Amino acid sequence: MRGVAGGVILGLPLIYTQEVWVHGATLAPTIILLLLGITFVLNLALSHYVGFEPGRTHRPLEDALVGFGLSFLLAFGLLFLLGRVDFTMTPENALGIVALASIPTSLGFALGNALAPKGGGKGAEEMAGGAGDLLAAAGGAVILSLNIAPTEEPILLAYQLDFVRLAAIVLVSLILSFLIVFHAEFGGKQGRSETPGAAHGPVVETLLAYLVAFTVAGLLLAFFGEIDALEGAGLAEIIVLSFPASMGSALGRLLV
Amino acid sequence: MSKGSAKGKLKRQRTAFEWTILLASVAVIVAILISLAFYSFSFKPGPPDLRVIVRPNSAEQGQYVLTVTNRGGTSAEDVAVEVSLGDETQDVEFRVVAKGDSEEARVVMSGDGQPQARIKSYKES
Repeated sequence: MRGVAGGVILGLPLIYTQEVWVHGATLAPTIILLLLGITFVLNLALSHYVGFEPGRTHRPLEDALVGFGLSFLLAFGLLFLLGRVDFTMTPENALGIVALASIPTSLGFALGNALAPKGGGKGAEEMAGGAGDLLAAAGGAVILSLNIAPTEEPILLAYQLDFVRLAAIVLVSLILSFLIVFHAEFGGKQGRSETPGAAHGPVVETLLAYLVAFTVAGLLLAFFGEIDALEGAGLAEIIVLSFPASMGSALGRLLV
Repeated sequence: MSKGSAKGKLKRQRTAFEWTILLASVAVIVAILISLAFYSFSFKPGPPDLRVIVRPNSAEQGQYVLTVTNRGGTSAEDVAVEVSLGDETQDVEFRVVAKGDSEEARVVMSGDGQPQARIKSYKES
């Protein structure tokens, strides 16, 4: 789960990038193979020195294979959820897009262990508590969604996704952020589940953090002039941007 | 924790779940590499080969479905298509028509008859 979290956090910004969709479908398969080869070597090295579990660097080949294989599945799942690959496309083009998107995702797998230090980040103890958590959630949400908010992608995706896909995105945002914070065994997880407070029930905290991510996504889109109302296309854009924002909020909460 | 026990923990046997994940990952990697290798060998380089078809949309009066298909070995970007019916002309632009794929757009024309469509310009990827 820690590897999946790393993959989502590092992979999402590129999965939300039009150029990845275009180049995945236009690059020659030989070039994609070459890129995958280089990425695998990087994965092997990162799995040897960092890995996706504390102290687990003794089987770098096995971990690199697992990270690489699962990142294909994860990238496919996320691209399918966002409607960027489907079964009407030629398999060659769909495969190219998934393979290209899986590159940062697989690196996220291999770096999973380094994403949230054990015991939380520096000054984490001063931010502990309900308000501190929500502040960290907002900070993480801004960091991950700020580089997507001013781009065309949220608008493009919002116009193309139907109600079912949008509902699925909300559901996946909630489930993944819940799993990342409470089941990925990142550093900081131990302390947070022992801290008392209304926001520390896993379900309540996940819902509150999603609300924070949703608000951050809405405010960023409004600041950039992308939305003018909380309905229809505007609401769809916020839901689309809330996905990376909620992943950022999960990472932010792990650091406190 | 002693050095020996730490080493023992690291070298523990893989669980059934870990074996399953490992085997599934290897299967996915092999399938993707074989597919990409197959596409690499069967890849025929060449310029985009764009075909354009325009047909009436049976569900909507005055609306036409424009389909651009790329049968070439290279994707085409910024594909500009001109659709004309009598004196009326509409311009439609497609961001990308990937190699081997098709893209569709809807065009509304006020006149009667069968519109004509032609590719005006495109860029090779």
